[in-house]
Amino acid sequence: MKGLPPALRKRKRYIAFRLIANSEVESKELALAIWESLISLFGDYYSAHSGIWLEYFDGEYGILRCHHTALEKVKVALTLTSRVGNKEIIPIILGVSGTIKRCEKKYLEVLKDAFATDGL
Amino acid sequence: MDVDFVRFVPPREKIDLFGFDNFIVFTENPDEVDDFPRGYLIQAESVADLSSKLRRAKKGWLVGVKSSDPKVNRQAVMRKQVDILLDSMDRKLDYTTVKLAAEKDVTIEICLSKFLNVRGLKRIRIFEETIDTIQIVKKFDVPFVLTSGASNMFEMRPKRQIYDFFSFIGADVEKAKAFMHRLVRRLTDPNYIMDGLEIEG
Repeated sequence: MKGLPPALRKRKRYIAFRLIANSEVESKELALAIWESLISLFGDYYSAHSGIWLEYFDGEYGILRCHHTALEKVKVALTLTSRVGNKEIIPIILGVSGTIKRCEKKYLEVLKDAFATDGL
Repeated sequence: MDVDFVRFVPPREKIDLFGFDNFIVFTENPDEVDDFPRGYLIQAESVADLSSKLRRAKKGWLVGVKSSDPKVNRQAVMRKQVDILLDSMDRKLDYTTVKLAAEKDVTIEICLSKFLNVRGLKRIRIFEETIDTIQIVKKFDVPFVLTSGASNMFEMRPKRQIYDFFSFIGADVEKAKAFMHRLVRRLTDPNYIMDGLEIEG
């Protein structure tokens, strides 16, 4: 709902990820695949509270927004997303941040070449 | 040491992406694997089949059994050569087998790849069985490991994502890491005898 007072707005989390695919993936297809994975795993009710939005995706690196209460569920859904259409993918979560600015800076600029598990 | 179990030889250049220290490759012919620690994959659908394949196991291999028949899995747990019961989409374990695994110190693998290629009712069943297995494993303190169990590159996931997923469904990740460490030491360290007992010097 638009125009909510700050106290009622939900806090957000930004998930930086890298996508390895066997052919080019478009952002719309990816967003759809993540939604499908989430709905298939948690159903319509819990998916409605997730607030997923694909903020940025350049074909390899991306940022996914969600509500902070749904973070774990979104991470699980992203991990279990194995296909986008007919293309096989490996989604690698680089890290999570509370602001998009910090997320971009930390995970997509500074640590772009770091390992997914050790470097972040 | 964080190690993952896979069913194929992963490409060296992609290994760093996943954050594991090493991979154990389970194949039916471990002699073909050079770069990684060897795991002998026994796919058996009858007890006789299991016995004949176990005779081919060599020292230094990690022996894993994969079967959809609960009788074969129970028999496998009772064999001294068997180190691990491998996971797959159609693995069937019963309560007695899991309980027996704790007594015989046979590790139970719980893998992520079985969740990736299925949807709907089949995936619901897999979730149900995995959560049940995790509960029984907790109850009897059965050795268990959490792995990707990937049979191709696209079934692999980073270490942290695998642990996050299993933690979400109720597994004790720290215990799984400790059991994995113990299993790898048993395979690679000649001085290791058991927890708290090793040859010095």
